[in-house]
Amino acid sequence: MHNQEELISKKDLLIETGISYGQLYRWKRQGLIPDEWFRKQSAFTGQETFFPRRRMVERIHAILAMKDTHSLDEMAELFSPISANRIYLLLDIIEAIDVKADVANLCIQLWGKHRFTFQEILLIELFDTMKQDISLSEEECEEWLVTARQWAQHLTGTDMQVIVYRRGSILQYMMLDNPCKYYLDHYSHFVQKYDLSERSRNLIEKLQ
Amino acid sequence: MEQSRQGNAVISGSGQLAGGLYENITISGSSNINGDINALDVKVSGSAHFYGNVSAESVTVNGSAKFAGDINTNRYISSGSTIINGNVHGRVVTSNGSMSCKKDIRAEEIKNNGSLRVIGDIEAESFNSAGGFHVKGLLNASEIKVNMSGRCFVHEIGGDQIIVKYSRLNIISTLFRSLFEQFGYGDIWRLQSEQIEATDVSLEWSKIGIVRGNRVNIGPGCKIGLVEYTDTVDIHPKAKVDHVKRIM
Repeated sequence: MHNQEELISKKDLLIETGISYGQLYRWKRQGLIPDEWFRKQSAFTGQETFFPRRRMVERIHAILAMKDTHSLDEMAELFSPISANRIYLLLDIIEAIDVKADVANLCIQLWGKHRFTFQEILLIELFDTMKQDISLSEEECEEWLVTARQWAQHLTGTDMQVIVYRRGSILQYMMLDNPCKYYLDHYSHFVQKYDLSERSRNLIEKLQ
Repeated sequence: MEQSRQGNAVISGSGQLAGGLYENITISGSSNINGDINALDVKVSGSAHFYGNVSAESVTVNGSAKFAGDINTNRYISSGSTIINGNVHGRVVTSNGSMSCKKDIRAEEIKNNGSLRVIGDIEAESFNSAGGFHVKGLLNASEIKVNMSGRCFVHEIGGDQIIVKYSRLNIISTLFRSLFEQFGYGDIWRLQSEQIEATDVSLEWSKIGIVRGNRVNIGPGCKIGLVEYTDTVDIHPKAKVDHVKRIM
């Protein structure tokens, strides 16, 4: 995914946006620019730092526009994807997070809202993947979404897993906080396991 | 769940301390602290080994201390010897003795008068050093002032304003500097770094791969591979710069 993204060198970025090294390093310190965007690559002058061009230029223009009206801390809060008061309009981000339109519409319809928190988005994205991995019936979709809505409020841990298993013809879900070993009963069959912490890291990267 | 502080803990001989909430912790002898600590003041005059994370208003080490976890404090002063395996988060971090951090240091103000060794990165508003330091990662600070009197090495430096000078107070080091230089060992007296990027850069006795900045001032004794500047550049006749490039 990263390989296709157009990169911009630090030098060109400074010329293009007109900011100084001091500003760039200050914003990095304040967490306005994620560390993952600083990518070291070898160039003919030794190592040089590159950035994902579109996201970086967009971010710098956003910072420059808000610089006089917002404090650095306020901006850091604004750019952080997991921040508690940040709400996403689902239809705006379905392309960025790679969720199908019919999945998004189903969520909007069943949950009766358009704006979702980061935790809810994480579970919606998981739902999209699950629909591809396991063919869910309409009823199972509804069951999952009712469950997910409750789970979203408890999704505060840093190490969470979701387990899908089947007993007879009934699909069941379980969320584990700090997962260790678990054993299913004899009549249930393990179907799929999803690591939420890893998915949440990917999602943060996609949302930035 | 509101927990109250357990009061003061004073260890004068040898002893152990459990983790928890304390008011003041004073260690004059030798002690192991098992578990995470939350206290107002932590003072070590003897030797201490902290096995958990430490969170306190102030941490002062005059003897020797080992921290297995992170330190989170308003004021950190080390006059003895400390080894920290975790991160240090502080407002003011002062090292007068020897301080070694295996991860990152984040602070508003860092003062180093002794020897400082950091395996990770340093992030601060101001970094003031009059001793020696060895930083394996990035030193990122708004204002960096280095008054060299020991060996200084940083992998990379970035910031707003960077001033590097050699200490003029020490006559012996001035004497040795020129002597070593003649026999080809002058580099141990230079601040060494691969790359410096800042708005204003002013250097003396430094050996740097690439210097990038808006206003660059290269003083005596410098050895620089490449200087890239946008506004002004000033190179002392006693400096050696391989390439200079103006970026438009």
